[in-house]
Amino acid sequence: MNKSSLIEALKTFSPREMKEFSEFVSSPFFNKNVNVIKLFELIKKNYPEFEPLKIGKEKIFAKLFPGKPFKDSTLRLLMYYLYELVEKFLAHSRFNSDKFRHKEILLEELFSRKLFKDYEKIIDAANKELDELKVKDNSYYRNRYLFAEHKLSYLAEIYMGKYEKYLTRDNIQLFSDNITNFYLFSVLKYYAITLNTMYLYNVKVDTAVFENILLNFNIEHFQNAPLIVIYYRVIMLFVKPEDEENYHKLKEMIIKHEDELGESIGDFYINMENYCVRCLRMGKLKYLEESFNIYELELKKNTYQIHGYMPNSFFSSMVVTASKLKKFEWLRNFIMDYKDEIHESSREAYYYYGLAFLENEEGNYEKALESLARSKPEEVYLKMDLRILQSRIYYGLVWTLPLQSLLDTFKKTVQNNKFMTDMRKSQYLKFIKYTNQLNNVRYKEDKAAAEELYIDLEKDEYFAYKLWIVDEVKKLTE
Amino acid sequence: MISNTLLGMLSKFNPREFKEFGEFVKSPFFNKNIHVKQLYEYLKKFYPDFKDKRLDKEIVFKSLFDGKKYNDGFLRTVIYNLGKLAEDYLAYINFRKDDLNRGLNLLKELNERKLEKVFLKYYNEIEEDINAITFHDPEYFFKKYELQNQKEIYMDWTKFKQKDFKNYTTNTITYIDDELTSYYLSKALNHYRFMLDKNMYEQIEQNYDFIEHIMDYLLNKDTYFKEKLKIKLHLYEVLLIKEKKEEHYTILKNIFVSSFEKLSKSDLYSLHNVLQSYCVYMGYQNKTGYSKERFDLYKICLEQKLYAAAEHIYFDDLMFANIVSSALAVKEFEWAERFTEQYKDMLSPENTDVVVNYSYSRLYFSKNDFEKALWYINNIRSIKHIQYKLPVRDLTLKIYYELGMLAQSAYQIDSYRHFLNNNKGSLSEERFKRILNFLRFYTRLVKIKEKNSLKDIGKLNEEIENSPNTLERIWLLSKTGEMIN
Repeated sequence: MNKSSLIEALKTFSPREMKEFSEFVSSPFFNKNVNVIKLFELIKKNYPEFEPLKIGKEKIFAKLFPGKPFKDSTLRLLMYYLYELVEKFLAHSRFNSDKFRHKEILLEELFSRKLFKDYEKIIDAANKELDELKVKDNSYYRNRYLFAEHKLSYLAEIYMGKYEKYLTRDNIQLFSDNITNFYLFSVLKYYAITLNTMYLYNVKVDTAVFENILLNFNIEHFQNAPLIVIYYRVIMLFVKPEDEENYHKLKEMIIKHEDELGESIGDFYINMENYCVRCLRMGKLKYLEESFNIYELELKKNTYQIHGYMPNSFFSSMVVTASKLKKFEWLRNFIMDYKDEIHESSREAYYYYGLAFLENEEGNYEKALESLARSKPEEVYLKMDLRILQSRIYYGLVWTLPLQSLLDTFKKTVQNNKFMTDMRKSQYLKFIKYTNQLNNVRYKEDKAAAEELYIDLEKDEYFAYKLWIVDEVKKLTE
Repeated sequence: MISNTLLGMLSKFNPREFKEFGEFVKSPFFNKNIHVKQLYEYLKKFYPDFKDKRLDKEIVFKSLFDGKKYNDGFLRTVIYNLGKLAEDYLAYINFRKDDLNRGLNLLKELNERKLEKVFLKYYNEIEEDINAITFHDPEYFFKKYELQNQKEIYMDWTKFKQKDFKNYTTNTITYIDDELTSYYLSKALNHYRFMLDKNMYEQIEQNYDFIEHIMDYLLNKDTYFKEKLKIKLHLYEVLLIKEKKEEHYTILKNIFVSSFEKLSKSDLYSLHNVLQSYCVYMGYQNKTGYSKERFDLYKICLEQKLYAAAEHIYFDDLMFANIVSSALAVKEFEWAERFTEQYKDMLSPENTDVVVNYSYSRLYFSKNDFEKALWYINNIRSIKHIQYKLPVRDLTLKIYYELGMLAQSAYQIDSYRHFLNNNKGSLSEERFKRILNFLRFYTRLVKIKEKNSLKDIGKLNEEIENSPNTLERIWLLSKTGEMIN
């Protein structure tokens, strides 16, 4: 029984939900089978652990039907009925938790029964509740136009043919403005996701519809819908990365409208973080401090969590940024305080990666190597980051030959990966190339070659850890 | 008496619903208040009429709280709670009806609880159910969008355990964009079509900047979305209303005759109206053959039962008279009479009087039996539907003229002008001009007949000939023609 869908689902219930479900099962409206009620009462006693020994099928059967021989099919059927109730309960809970959907569906029923007085009462209440909402996201706009649409249908019914009574500018505009806002909000949001995905992974997406919308987009039209303007500015971070004013205006708007942004606020911070990273890659070093400020703001406002976890990328970016800014003590506290917020499947890998990174920055190469050995990542980009860190530790330890072989394997891995974007590949390959040269120059103690390498690096564009390599080359030229 | 709102609602429950509502009230999940249960049990005796002296508040209170002093506030709370439960019950039964929405709600909950195995099982089942839908209306696209959204969320939380991003393909985002855009286009274009259509008759100011950009994109750059039936339909409806081109009419007529299974009744109903409006327009442009076309369209419309915007609504009363008029225009007198008799009971009770009398009046007018036509038009007791106020006045004027009731015509013209001026703001410019032209020419025609002086008749005839946007133009020309000959 322990591995059944029924127990798996009940394990996810909160104590309050368990209590409600108990009432649900006992409600004649949903269930009239007394044995199903009894079965639930027996199972309920084992909530939340549901220890396998205590909910063994034969044990439960004996309590349900004392004195009767065990019959698996009977119990299975009762479990099936109870599971059906679980599904009904979950669907009903979802429906009930959306008060606007609840009202919308009630309006449909009242309209079909021509209960117009109640209909008016409900639609007025819904619009009043919408007026009071602070967060104006896509569900706000969707509810706005749905209720506007309902109102138009209702008015059309009661003023049949008297269009002048209800086809007023306000009634019509309410529908068309809000459906447009809903669409734009959703589409701009997905466009931002698409641009992020295209930047990170080697994927191609047809963005013609998005681009057409951008062509005709006028910020002035959406002054009453700040979220739409914010998403537009997020997109502009990709489309016009050189426009730094756009970034600052975006940041200003996010801080100004933070109460209206709801769950989307996390997305906006991620996009600002990513913009800072992209600027850094272009060599704009002032964005190092800026990105740290953004991360700190996110930690302060608690907006970084996704599905209840700290995203891995957030954790590793925090480690890298704080290290570069030499905020070692701050970073050590951060790693200890937040490691448990990383998803359990990758917690160890990121935690030890963070520690290894910090130890390396502080020059504790042996300790760094120790932590590195305990990080066993499965994610492709963390694997790459580990290789980079490993290379830097080996360099710190002056392990010339092992570093050479490590860089060789690293190169092959990068070249064979099909899912990395070309831009990412190029970044890794440059790191490998220059680290190799750095390793050789130091081994040969060739000052002239070091100077030549320094000039090459100066000429080349920014890539990950370029600054570290430049610093190390400088040391060889002194 | 206790609250009419509650009793009114309960009286609309059918016996099965009323019984089931009893179980709802007794379910601890929804209600734990014993007095609310008692109130339901008490009211049960008076279902469905709820007309009884025992529904007096004090009697109800005494029955529920025997021995206690009457407390209006307390009773009102119990009544309110039962009313709230009745609303919840109605919302629940509506929710229960829609299996797909219920499934999507369950899916969202399973996803949130990370119950992966069951989530994937239901995901596939719901996807199959949605793909089996034949009506690709906005709700179909929205359901697909919601389903893809769930997939996106699922992929997002499962990515923590993915080795790489092999599964993180572009498909999800493309799908979301596709379904969402299809949803928006089908809904917004339909609304735009509705407003443009109404704008032909009424003056409605509205800002359509964004949708016009979208139209531009669909027409000039898109090759994908406009091939989806529902989007194609509304796109060409908008184009036909705006540009009045025969090629758009042909595309739409093809959709109309070949998509009975793929479009909803409401879409076919609107499409039929758009096609009819185009034929009317062409008629006013002096183009021939459109009377027959209109009649043929109406016959299809009757075959397909497209005589109301939605199933629960009565026969469209304006369409009713238009069907009669179009049959008469092609001299199908018997057909028009048979139609009136066959369908008159499907009209809304409050409009039957005006629609049926007007239709018979038109029929007899066409048969040159003007006395009978007058009898029927006089038989109209009241006109509740504003759209009928104009044609009834037009027909009355024509009957007066035919019967030589010229003094009555003068009064009628005067009253008509007042009515028109009072409603000028509500009528489209074109329509206002059309009616005004009719009144102008009619007044001159009456004057010529009164004075029996034919010297201006040639000029009047010529002016009517040169004014295609004139109501009842053919009738006016036949009258000037009679005088000239």
